[in-house]
Amino acid sequence: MRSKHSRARMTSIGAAAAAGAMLVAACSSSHPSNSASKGSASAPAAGTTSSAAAGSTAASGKVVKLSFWYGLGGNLGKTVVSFVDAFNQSHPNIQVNATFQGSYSGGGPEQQKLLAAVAAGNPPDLAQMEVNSGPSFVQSLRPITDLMNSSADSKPSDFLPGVLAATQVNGQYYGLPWNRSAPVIIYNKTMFDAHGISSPPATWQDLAADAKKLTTAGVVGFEPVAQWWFTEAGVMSGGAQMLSDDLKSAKFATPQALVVPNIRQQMIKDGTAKPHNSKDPFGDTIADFGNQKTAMADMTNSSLSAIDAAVNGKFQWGVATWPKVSGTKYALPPGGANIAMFKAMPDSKVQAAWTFMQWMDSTAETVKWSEQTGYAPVKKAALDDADYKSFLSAHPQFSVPLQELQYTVSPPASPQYYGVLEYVQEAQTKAWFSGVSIGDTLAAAAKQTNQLLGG
Amino acid sequence: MTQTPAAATTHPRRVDVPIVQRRRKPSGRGHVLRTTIFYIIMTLVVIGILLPLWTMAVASLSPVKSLYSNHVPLWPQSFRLSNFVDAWHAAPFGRYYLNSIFTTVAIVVLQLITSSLAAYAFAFVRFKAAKAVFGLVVLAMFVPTQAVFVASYILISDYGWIDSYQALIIPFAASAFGIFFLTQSFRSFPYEIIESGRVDGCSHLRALRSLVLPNARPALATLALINGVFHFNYFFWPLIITNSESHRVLPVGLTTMASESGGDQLIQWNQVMAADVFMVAPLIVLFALAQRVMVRGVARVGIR
Repeated sequence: MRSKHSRARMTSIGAAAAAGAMLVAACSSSHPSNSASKGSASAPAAGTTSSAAAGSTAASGKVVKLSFWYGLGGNLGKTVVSFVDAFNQSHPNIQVNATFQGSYSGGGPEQQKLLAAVAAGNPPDLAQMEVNSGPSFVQSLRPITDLMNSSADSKPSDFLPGVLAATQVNGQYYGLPWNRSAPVIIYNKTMFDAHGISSPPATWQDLAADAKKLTTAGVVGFEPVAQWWFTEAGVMSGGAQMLSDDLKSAKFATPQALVVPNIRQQMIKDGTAKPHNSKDPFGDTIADFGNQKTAMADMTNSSLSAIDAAVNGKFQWGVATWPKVSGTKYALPPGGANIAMFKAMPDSKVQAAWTFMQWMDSTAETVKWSEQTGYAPVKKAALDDADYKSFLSAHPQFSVPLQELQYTVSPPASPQYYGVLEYVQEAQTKAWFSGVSIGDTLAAAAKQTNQLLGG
Repeated sequence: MTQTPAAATTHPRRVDVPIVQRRRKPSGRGHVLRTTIFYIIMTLVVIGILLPLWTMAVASLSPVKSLYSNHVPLWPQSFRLSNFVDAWHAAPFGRYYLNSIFTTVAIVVLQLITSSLAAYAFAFVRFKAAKAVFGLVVLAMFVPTQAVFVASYILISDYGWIDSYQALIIPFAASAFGIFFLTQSFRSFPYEIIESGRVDGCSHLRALRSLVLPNARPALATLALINGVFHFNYFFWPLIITNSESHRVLPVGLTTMASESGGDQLIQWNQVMAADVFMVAPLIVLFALAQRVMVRGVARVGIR
């Protein structure tokens, strides 16, 4: 998944978001109603790639130019560009200019740039936005509920259950899900067979027992990934919430919330689990799994192709739903990003922007996107798509996360949530790598959270 | 192994000791031990500095699979020069190079001009509240970019400079560090010379150009290097302020090479490292060429 933040970045958003959020609020309240006139009046001076001249008429056959900021680098970035190119070729009246703005992660460069651009009054027309970012940017986004409801194939009911998590704020939709991921467990089937374990663990209690059996000289049973996402997943899997319903206090340090984090830390203490304390915990974990240094690991479905490459046919492996606690239902946080529309754009551009968003999520494109990247498709119709069916039968590991999507729970819609996640990340790091009880560190993080939320 | 007459006369009892040995001998075994420890530590430091560069070079020549094996290779298993070609074509690096060099040179030239003017004033001109103003300049060194970038962005946006060379250069035309650094350096220049020049009718500008600057070359070179390297490497502001490939610079280009982590395919670390070589190579050459003058500059500023 790509919703991860380095701690440095998180710290900077802590500062920047505090300042930026105020600016966002201040700025958007100063010109909330005149967004249409604003676009054409100030865009030339602002000098973004969105040209106001093109915004004047979509109907008269002129080309509408749209700026689209995205936050995926490397091969994924190239894939994004190839999709945008295909859209531009098939839509002669719309020209989308996609520009890479650094990682879209919470507090990452793209978000910092968006904060500045919104404050300056010249955000892009469209942007890829991390799943937890909605509440922070809601003031400057255009709600799309009306567009969705009147859409031919992007009505809320057209989407797979679970993928619309983290697209709503205060009952309005603010983004279409695009690159979506879910936490999963990967396991080495060959090692499982050697130890007489017939199926992957369904609960954390099972996983801990399996890890004990699988830990031998040079092989650790389980490799947790040192990223807040998995502590968030642990809290939700235990049947607890991260924040209270009124978003005013922390709920991630209650006894119920701590069940999974405690099991995970106990495994680390026992030596049956070993995390990497590194800048690239996902990459290091994938390498360890490929080199058979670990039998099981935390993972995101968006990395399944990378794992296939790392394993390189050396052994059999599989994907399992991220476990729950016996007696609870599966409940997992979303990962990845949405595409959102900024309300600073003139009304004349909205239809073109919406056309682009719908096209990116259309069944044909979401299937292609999923096959090329490993992210989950977002449309129900994708499951009946002949192309995707044959892809799934050739790549059975992709069907696990697909079923898992339905258990996705929306994260708390608080504009302070990135700050909260920063505390959680710190608590997890401290507990895992200096041996303090995670119950204590999360309790301290809860205290900080309560202060932050003013509850 | 020859004796100098001078040695023979000043140390008559040691005439038989060759000079080379005599230098080592005075403090005996303890000295040898200290020298050995010194060399061991320095060797470790050198290894610590060179290892990442070496690993980068090895990785840039390796096939990507070998970089995901158990051990980081210390020697390339193959010499895949094609990695460099692939990396060069993965992004418009030619353009990034030109942009990086142009903006860095422009920033450095402007900073040298503005910093030496300000430093001259702080070092040689007496004016009201000079100390307080200098204090403000020093304070500016401690303000992190993250705290002010939104305000800077709005300003640049109001000028209509988003995605332009002006936006990459003008905000850095003056440097608090440069002013501080050159002021310290200028202060070692005897004020009496300026004074006598002034008596002879020499203007401040002339004094700066003809008297101070020629003597401050090491400091100027050091400042150019330190700030030049910083801006050549600077990622955050150029990313924030540019949108189009035509204005982007090398560090921004590098991040497009690798997705944060995970992703659909393994990160092509060999290509990323090859691109790193593009980035680092000019700096290494520059340092090798300018090292001597730079060390002299720092030493001068230190000894006042």
